[in-house]
Amino acid sequence: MDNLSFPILGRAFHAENVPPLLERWLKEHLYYPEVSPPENFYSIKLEVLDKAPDLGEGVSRKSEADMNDEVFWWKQDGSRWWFVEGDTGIQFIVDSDAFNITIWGIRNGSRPELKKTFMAMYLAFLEAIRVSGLFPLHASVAIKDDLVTAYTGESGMGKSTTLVKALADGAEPLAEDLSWLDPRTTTIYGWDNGLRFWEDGWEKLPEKYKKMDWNGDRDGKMILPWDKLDLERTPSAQLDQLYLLRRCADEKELLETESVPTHLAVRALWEASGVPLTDTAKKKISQGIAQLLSRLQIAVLYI
Amino acid sequence: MELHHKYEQNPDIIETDLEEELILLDPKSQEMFSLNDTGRIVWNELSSSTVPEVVSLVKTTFDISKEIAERDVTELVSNLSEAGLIIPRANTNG
Repeated sequence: MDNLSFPILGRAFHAENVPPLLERWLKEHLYYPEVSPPENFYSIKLEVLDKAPDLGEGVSRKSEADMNDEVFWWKQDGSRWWFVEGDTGIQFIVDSDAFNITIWGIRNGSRPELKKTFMAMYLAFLEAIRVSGLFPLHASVAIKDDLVTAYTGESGMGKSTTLVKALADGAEPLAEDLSWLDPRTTTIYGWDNGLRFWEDGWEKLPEKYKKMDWNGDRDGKMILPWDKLDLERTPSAQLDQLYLLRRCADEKELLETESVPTHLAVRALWEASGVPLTDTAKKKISQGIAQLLSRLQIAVLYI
Repeated sequence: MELHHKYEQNPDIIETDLEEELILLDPKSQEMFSLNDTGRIVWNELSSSTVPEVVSLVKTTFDISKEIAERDVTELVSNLSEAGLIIPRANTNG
């Protein structure tokens, strides 16, 4: 078993005694060397144990993760949170300069058996990045003529479809589903493994994309990893505008835009970022939203 | 609606402070509430003060009569409670 270190969005990450299964998972989900924000003081640490530490009592807290509509029941005691699934589990502790994650009971399990524990660990990493000051954005992001645009909306609203149309219109992709936004600078960092579309969306792509090396992903989508993208990809850029996607109603013309009242923009940004677990992360996201409202053009786009 | 003496913030409510207003979002119902300066004081102080203490603070802060402060605070407390943003606080007297 090895120790593992790499930066996660400029945050130092270190894990000790990492079994091969976990190492593969960490590199698959968190290792994006092409995305390199400036170094940040915040660090994330992961410890692997054979058995659960002494967890004690705690207050039950429910979170509904936007991952296959799973529900997670966490326990909380101050800045310490934990999730248990049989003999495995996750604990994290939020400190002012570090986020300490512990995982246990995973050495002998297979990936399907550990699925929910690993999902909880992924939520912990997302929480860590939020606490460190970055704002998660469920959005597709495209660049055209140096204008960087993010498209966000409820699940199924058409983020990917809108990205397909943008690519057909000559834009280049920065992100397909998830990116991280620095609210102080509005720099956006792509956080996907590549382009992923259902077949009907893939059919509408320009030919130059369809000729690239696509594979079928586990959920049935077509995936084009970034390293197979036959274009020079920009993994991060200054975000210029954010569109909130809404279905075109009768009185609205397709692709019409409309300014957004502050309240709706606030709600949309919370929806786009997902509700954090911890009060620390909620405060950071709240501050981030206040900063973004003053720095970013936000409008509704009817599709 | 009967008002209690002590309340606390519903921990599930999300705050966004835009300086000129404080926006509260209930992620379950998706309802949003905007609080002005008076509302901000009520929201921030209720967890550590009784309703009469908050009335007194509002009266002093805005230099208004006790009657107006009481009317504004009790109306706001009633609205916040009805919306589930604040919940009655258990007595912790030992």
